Amino acid sequence: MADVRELVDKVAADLSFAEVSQSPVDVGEMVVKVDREKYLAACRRLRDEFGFDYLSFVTCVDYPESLEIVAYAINLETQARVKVLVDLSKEEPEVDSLVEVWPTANWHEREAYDLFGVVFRGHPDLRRILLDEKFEGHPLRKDYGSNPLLKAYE
Amino acid sequence: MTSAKQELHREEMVINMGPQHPSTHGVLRAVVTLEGETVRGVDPVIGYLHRCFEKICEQKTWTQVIPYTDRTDYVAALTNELAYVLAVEKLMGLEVPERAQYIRVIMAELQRIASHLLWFGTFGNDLGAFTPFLYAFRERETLIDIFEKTTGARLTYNYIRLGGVRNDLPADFERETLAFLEKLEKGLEEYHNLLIGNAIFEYRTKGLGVLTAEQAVAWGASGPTLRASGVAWDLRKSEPYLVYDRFDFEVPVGQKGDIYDRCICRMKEMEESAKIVRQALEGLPEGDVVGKVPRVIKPPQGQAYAAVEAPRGELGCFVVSDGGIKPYRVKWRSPCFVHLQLLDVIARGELVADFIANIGSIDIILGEVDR
Amino acid sequence: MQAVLWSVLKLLIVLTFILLNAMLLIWLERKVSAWIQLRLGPMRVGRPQGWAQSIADVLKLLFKEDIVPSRVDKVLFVLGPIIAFMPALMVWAVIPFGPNFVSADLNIGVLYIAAIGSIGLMSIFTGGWGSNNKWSLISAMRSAAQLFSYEVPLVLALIGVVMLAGSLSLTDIIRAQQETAWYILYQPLGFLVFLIAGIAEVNRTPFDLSEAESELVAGWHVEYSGLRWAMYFLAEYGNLLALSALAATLFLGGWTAPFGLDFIPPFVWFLLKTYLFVFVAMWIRWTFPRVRIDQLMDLSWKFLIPVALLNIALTGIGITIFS
Repeated sequence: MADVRELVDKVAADLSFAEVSQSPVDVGEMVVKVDREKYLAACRRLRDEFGFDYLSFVTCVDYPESLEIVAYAINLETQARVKVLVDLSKEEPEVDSLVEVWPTANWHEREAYDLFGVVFRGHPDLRRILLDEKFEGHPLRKDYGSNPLLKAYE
Repeated sequence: MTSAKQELHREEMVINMGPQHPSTHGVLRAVVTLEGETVRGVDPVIGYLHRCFEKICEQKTWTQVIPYTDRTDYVAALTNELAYVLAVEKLMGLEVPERAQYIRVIMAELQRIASHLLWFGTFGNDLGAFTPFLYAFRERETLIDIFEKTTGARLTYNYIRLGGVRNDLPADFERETLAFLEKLEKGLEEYHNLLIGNAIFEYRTKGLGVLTAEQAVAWGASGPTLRASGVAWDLRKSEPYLVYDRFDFEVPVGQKGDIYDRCICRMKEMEESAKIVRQALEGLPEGDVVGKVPRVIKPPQGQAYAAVEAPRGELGCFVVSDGGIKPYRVKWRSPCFVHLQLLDVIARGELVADFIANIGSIDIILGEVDR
Repeated sequence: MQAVLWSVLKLLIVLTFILLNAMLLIWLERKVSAWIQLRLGPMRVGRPQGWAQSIADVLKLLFKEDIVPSRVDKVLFVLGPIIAFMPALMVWAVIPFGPNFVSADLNIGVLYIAAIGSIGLMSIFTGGWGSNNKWSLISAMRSAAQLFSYEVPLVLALIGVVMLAGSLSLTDIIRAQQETAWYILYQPLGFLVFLIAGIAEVNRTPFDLSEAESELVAGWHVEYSGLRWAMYFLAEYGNLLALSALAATLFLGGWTAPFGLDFIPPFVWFLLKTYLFVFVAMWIRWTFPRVRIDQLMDLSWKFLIPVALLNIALTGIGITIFS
């Protein structure tokens, strides 16, 4: 398994606006935390400069205070992996789309839009993907609905 | 001449392939735009099998999730469990006994063979050859019997547990598995004579559904679909999880990235898996099959991503823990979901018949796509 | 009067023969496919070997509700299955079952068969068009293209036989084979073309493009059910049987007994040869994958027709040299 310690320093020097670290649970994983506005630029640099040409997935995590976008990319040559994190406010869950950097982001972002309600700016085809078009709400949000049966179970 | 052309009325036909269609491998709906028989565009519509897997995971304890993972990719349940369990173990830093790791490797590779056998059968069916299906199922049946003996179930096993596996291998596992591998060798030869070596099969698959290496990487293809395009990326080699670095095996790579290469990659992978199983059985150490696991699973706060080389490609599980007894978030990175996007890329401009072959060649399981 | 009664009786016998045989063929197809696929096939209805399965199936289909979807073209929809059965029956008028056992010994028998064969296309086309279904429409277009291109090599393959026999009458062709040898020996190329084109003509795998269940669901009969569907189904096997009988007559010496085995009646020999060809067709069906529509066209126009023409030329040269 590749160790990304050296890479972390390099990326930190290059992406001065980002918070770069090594994942505490995984030595092969680099964590890049960026602001919403720098997200697309950071991803593009990671692809062009550092060879992260393979996007594994894009998803979202609903934390109590914010929504966190997680994009996971791999460098197929060095086997280094990077996790890009962006915090979004719940009031305005909007972020740039990665489709122009990695085309495969298309469906992952549609899924995140469908289940979390995150709007990806510049996405070519932002529709619901798993749920019906007429479906209301975004079910993977923690505050979505509240099934009385589940409440009783808890 | 031009006037005659103008008089010809041309019209594109939008046709709904599925959700009930014999060749959509479940409940995929593909909205296909046809001009005559030529495919001009594909819009896969998914979600018919959506069972809120990721939401359910948030309601269950960490161990209770395992049986649910079985139900995503239901023809390769063991690798699903493996991806989830590895992610949680990574988060917790659990030690897994060596014997358990070997058993996991053996089961995962046997699962790959079982899954590829099923693919082979259904792919033949897509091309209009029904007989290979039953030949493949003959071998798969033996394998499923071995799984049943070991895990107690035939399809959804719930066998791989946090810190190890549920139980040790049964007494005659080695003998039966080796007998099966021998049978498989003969079977593979037979499949070649029956379908893969057939001239019609080559006509139907060569040079069609081409996916270049750049496209494959950009669109996030993985597994045999990526390797057929000439990218030798296999998680078992690049990030050897479990004990894969101890075995000697090759990663079959194609050149053109057409349907034929994808088929050949899968057929060869079965041979390589058989090799791994043989080596793992030989080197199987003695010892416990479950490590030291706390009674209540409470992974520390954090995120972890673990990916395994599932039969269909990179199957990843991204888990987030808030330190509680339930996962805070489970994200399932399923290869089929990603591959389904490719349909439009590879099938555009080809005929309806090739479209069916293309769906078959990327080997989708809708249970995993929709989760 | 007696002559009229005799010909009506002959017709009835032929009709019963075809229907029974079509049902038998369905059972046989299941058994042959099961045998090839390591299965048992039907076992429960009728012992031994589930022989009554087809009868049970036909009865079930007879009692099913007759559904005509509301948006189909009713006339065409109803007409399709009826037309389907016609050519399968009409071919049998000229096929000799035995030395004096033929409904109508036309002196233009081969020409008549070639003409009748094209009607089969009409049934698929009316059914597919009338169903008002996209899949059926594609299927209808496919079958039109397919049958047009396969009619040509099929007829060209027959010409070699006609040249050798010097007659268009099927009885004469058999008699000519008795004098020399089975025409499969003189016409191997012709037989090959006939085999391929014939299988394409009756829409069987690897050329079952108009049905193609994995692509077009069921092709032209996707909207049909019950008795109408059964008629299509029986017609398919009727056509296969007719084609096999034709192959047996033209290339395998018809009712002629081989190796001097005269004690077996000619009728039995004819059936045996017919079923041999049927078996070959089934064997091919359950072994090969399906070709694609453009490859099918290529095969017909770029391979079969040149080969058939070559065969005619060779036959002509052979006749000139040896006579």
